[in-house]
Amino acid sequence: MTEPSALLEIEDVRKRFPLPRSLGESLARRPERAIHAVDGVTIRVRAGESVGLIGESGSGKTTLGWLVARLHEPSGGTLRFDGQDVTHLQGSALRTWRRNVQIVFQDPVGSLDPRLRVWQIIGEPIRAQVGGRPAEVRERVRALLPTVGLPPDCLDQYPHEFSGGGRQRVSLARALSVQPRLIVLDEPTSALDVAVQAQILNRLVDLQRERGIAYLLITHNVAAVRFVADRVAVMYLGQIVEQAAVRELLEHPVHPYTKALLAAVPVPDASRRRTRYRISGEIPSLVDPPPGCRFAPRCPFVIDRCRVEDPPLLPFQGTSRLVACHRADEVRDIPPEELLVRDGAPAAPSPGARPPPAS
Amino acid sequence: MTDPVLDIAHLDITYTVGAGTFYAVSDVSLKVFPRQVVGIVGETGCGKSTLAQAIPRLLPEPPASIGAGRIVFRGTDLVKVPKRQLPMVRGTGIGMIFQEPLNSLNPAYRVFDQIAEAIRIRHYRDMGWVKTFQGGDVPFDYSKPAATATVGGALVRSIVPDGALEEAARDRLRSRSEFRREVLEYLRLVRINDPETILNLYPHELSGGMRQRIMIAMALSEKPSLLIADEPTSALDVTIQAQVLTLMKELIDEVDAAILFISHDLGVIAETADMIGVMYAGRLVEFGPVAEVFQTPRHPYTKALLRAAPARYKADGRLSTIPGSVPNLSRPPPGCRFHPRCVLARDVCRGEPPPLAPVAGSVEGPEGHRSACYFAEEVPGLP
Repeated sequence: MTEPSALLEIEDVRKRFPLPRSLGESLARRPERAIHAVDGVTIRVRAGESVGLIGESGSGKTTLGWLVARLHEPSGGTLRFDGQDVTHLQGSALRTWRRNVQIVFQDPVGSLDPRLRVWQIIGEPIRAQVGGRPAEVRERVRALLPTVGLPPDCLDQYPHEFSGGGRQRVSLARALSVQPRLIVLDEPTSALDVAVQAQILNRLVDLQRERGIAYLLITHNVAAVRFVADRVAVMYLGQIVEQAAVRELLEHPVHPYTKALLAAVPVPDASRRRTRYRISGEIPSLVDPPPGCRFAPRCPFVIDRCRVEDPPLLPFQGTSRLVACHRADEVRDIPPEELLVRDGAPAAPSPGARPPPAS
Repeated sequence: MTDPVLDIAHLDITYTVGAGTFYAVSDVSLKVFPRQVVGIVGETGCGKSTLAQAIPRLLPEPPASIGAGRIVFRGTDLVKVPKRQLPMVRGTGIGMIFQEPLNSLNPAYRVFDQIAEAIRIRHYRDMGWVKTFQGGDVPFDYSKPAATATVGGALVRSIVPDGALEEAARDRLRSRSEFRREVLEYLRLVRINDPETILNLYPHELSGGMRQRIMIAMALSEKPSLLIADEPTSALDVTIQAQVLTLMKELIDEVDAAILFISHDLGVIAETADMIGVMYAGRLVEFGPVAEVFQTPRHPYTKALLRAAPARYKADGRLSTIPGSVPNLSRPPPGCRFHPRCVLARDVCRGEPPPLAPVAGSVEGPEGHRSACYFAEEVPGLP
């Protein structure tokens, strides 16, 4: 059932980071423990489409981005790009393939070499993929600068001379330099102020319209996802819990975690003020997670079945939406605001005890 | 109207470094009243953290220097306190919550000791063993033993051997169970489950939200009348941030303290603050009740900032941005510092900087809505 137009197909991809064992543990033949950072994720990205990946820190979204760019070796599953299996590409084949997928890293300070000039930073992928003499590389970089909104005279500047927004533009130019078909954007705006963030987001959307690049936008910033993404996947503890078109997902979330996440976002609207948040608990550890739904310990709608049986990611009521929740049909109509309490309002009864709405 | 807890007037703060002088905070005036939550918003580099750290005089001086103005906290002008007496200001009613809790907690201390330290110092102050300011214009003179000034005190002194009273009090403090009880009380106050276990953990063993709650417990254990929260939730994930914000909001009702809440996140301020101050390039450009400022901003910068918050889909068109960029504070533009980026700018904006004046139709007094713009009336008409 592979769609012909899918550019990137990730199937049941996994990444485990084994924890070091002490000598005593090894001698006692204790089983090896591992962090299950990405645990069976399936996503498709079509050409020219932007898919948002939201989730909190520790949910494995950055690891997934690195897997897509082949910066991590997957521990399981397959990665197909344009119909070709790239899960185990090695050597020069991998190197040639890399021009298809570029990545913009989270930290605009740490991902730019402080001792290289702007044209050398942006030109590095060109040198690696296309080659050419320094003067030619420099000319190609000069032609690239206006597309990300950098002034043409900054070729010889160093990264520290730029503001956060400027550095992120350099990062973006570097990703664009080899005309990739997919860019993994790992928190491209989280280090930026709201006004600068708006500029970068506008630029990202313009670039996509002009060049038909596909994006995998990894962020915890719901506002950025709303503006850039066509489809959104929500990740929690290494698994996708819900996936749908952006407007559907943000306006009618189904999975309790998606609802919790959206309810938690503070809105710059003083009329919603003094609302209190009811989801407790924190993201649990990813070291050998227990069976069952991973959100169960925090979920207000939890039933016994959730603690035993892992809910699969299934199409929801015949739509294109995918949800991994045993009670998806019952919790569907509960708005995220239900997870908030207004100031002065009487404390609502525990939502776990509330009768499911008639559907 | 009661007296303000904090009264900042015409405060100027500069940093002098090799590259020149940076005017980080210029002519900021601000009052915080008891039980009020005042939010300060602004972009990176607008001077909001400098302001927050200047209040308890935590700024390194030099390179920072407070040029003019006053910071009156409960009757004491903290600007006038000489540097060597600054330790007397610490822990006397101003609590601080910092942005990055991991960097602000001592990694070698268990949770118990982190909080016990603050409580111990508060006890020392209560007992009068540590020099402290008690408010008023003159620092309290601890060279005169206040406890023996009364007849009863003198009588006790004459009967009880020298130093025995202090010794007895010290013993009370030394008992670990006494401390433990109080520390546990504060951990429960910040809604930490199973505080008996948490007590013996080190900061690195805690999650971000937990650490921030420990920071809040530490700040509260000094029984402050002013709590300064400098981006308390920026380093946290959104659901954890919501939990910490909920805690802060509940504490506002429980703890009798005023809060100065600094954040770059308009949403966080909208949810917590009663009054909001907007800073741009070192100046306070707008101040007023939070609902009014969010609904009808009267400064072009506030309006632009609110409009830039992305709340639309790709299909709805481009996000609005503010043209230009934040000025370099070593050479701030003359007059209104926003004029190079402002659509309303005229010649008068390049002259004298506009004062923070009440806007038409707003109530008088400290609850009023004020804007530092010559054309504040025209702002509601902007797109």
